[in-house]
Amino acid sequence: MTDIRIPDDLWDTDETPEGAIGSWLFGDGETVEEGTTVATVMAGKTEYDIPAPASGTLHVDKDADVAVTPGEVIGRVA
Amino acid sequence: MEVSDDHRSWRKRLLAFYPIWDVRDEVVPDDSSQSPQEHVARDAALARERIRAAGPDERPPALFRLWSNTRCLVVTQREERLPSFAAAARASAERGWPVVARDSGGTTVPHTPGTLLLTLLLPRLRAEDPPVQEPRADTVFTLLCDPVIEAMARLGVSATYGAVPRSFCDGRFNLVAHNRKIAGTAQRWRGGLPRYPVRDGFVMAHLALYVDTDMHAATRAVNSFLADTGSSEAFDSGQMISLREAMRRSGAGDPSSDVLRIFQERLVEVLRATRI
Repeated sequence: MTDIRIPDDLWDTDETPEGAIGSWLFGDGETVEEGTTVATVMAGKTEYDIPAPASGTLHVDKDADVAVTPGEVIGRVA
Repeated sequence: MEVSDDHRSWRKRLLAFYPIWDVRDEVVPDDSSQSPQEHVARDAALARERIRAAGPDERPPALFRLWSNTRCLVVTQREERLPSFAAAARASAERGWPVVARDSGGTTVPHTPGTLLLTLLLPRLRAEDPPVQEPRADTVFTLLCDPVIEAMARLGVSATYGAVPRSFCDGRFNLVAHNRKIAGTAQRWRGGLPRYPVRDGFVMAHLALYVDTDMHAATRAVNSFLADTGSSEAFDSGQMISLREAMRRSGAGDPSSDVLRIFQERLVEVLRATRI
């Protein structure tokens, strides 16, 4: 099981305390390949791609539009 | 808001990293030969085309694209998922403001023939590139906005960075003149996380400068669309200003002149001089 984690330094939390999941590009239980963009995260007015850290089955922990902060685990690949 | 020395330092490194900074002027006011969606989609298409065109040992150039659009509202893919989006978009189109979705940050913004649009396209760091760190989004915003501030200064209008509460699509990297929002920005990082090499990735940074736009009508169009989606957000057109009005208040320029064309020429001059 590999965590899909928002990098600690993706944005400056002094300026933007939290972001939000923009969208999931794959559904819970779908197969994903390492490096494929599986989600987007929006912080301030910037949207970033979040890649799958490994190949396997995607488990979504945080739904779209849910608030997130750097370092948080938003899903897993098993 | 002051832009820190750290950003200035990053800006220099980034300017050095891309040896070529192209400028493409594609402004054709009220060009209806393409749909608003086609105008919007061209940014990503252009980025992919330039990355493909670069040889294996070449770093694709950075590109500033100046462009314009016909009247429309540009929304994010996130807003496109709202349950009442389709009905709200139809109603907006009937009011003369068709709605198009863009894969980028921010929230709903109006485009009009009097809005000057600027996109900065930066190819992302690749695995074979030297291990320079990529900058934060804030630095990319300054690369996008500083030339616009300089071009406005050449027309006698002083602008700074800052949030303007109750303006649509508000953010720290608005441009502000006479304490009102004159331009808004957003950004999209495609292809992977910052500071990790990616394949065929790019950054798109967008700016919309309201040069000769009826801000009351534009804000009303945004508010009506959002109300139809069920949103309780409503924005105040009094928090916005067009460049034409800012020039009038600054006692700069001839109010009868073609402000869009004059500003476009100044901005191209400044962008072509973008170097370390």
